[in-house]
Amino acid sequence: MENEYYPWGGEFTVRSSDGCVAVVLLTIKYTPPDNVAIYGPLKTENIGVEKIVANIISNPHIRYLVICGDDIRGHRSGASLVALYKNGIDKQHKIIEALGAIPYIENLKEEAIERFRNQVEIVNLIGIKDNGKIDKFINEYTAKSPPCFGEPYIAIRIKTTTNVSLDDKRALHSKIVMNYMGKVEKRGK
Amino acid sequence: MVDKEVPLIKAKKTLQKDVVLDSGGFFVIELHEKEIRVEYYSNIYRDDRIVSGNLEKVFSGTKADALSDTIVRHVPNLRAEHYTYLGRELQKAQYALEQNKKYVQGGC
Repeated sequence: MENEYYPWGGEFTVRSSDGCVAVVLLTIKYTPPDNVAIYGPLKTENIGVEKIVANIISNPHIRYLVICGDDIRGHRSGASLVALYKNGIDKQHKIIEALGAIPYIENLKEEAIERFRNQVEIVNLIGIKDNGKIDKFINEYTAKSPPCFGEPYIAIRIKTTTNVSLDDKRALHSKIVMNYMGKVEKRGK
Repeated sequence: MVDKEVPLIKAKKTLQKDVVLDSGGFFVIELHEKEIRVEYYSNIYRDDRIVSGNLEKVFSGTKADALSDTIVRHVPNLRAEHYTYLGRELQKAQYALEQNKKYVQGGC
């Protein structure tokens, strides 16, 4: 099951597989302790937020989302993520009451957003850059040791595809032999 | 006597304000698990401005040339300068990957 976690990928670091805390780093130089499930930066208020939601709901062990550091100038990505958690999205897919310039959620279904809102509790430390203080919050929430939320929710899966090009004669000829009438004489090697 | 004259054109970077956004979409480039990941999004507009994108395809590899060649095949008809931008960024990403450095996608 663990290899289902974080299917969208992205710029993050995975630590404890059953950790209950995920950490979003805004404008801050900070490395969270090893007991967190995952941590990484958030840059944009649209696709960046989507990736965080998709990756978090794929790991039901994550029950707390710590957001720390100064918010991203212009984008207000941290505040937009908090707004998504509090308010959800409107019919135009815009995060309700988000402060960012273009806070639109387009790659996630409403069901995925609801799952996110139900699965985690946000620990809003926006504006806090004191590493010791953040460590304290993380350890406090880790100690709560809440139960797993259930099954992973896979919002997006990146599927590996193998393309055989018609230009690739070696690939084609090694699999199919055709006769002069254009009929397949042999398949496979 | 001169048989032929050809122009020598001095290079000039397009100013940020003059960059034309590609109606064909945009790319997000990241390093992920010792690979370069390139996500291709088609544009989503609200009130005639691009506000986000639909994730259409994801490419992965370790070499800028392989990624560039593959992306051109799978995402045709973009603006010429978009492909050159992509080539530059992928080369930067490959360098960061090989040197174990942080990569941050730059603008056009």
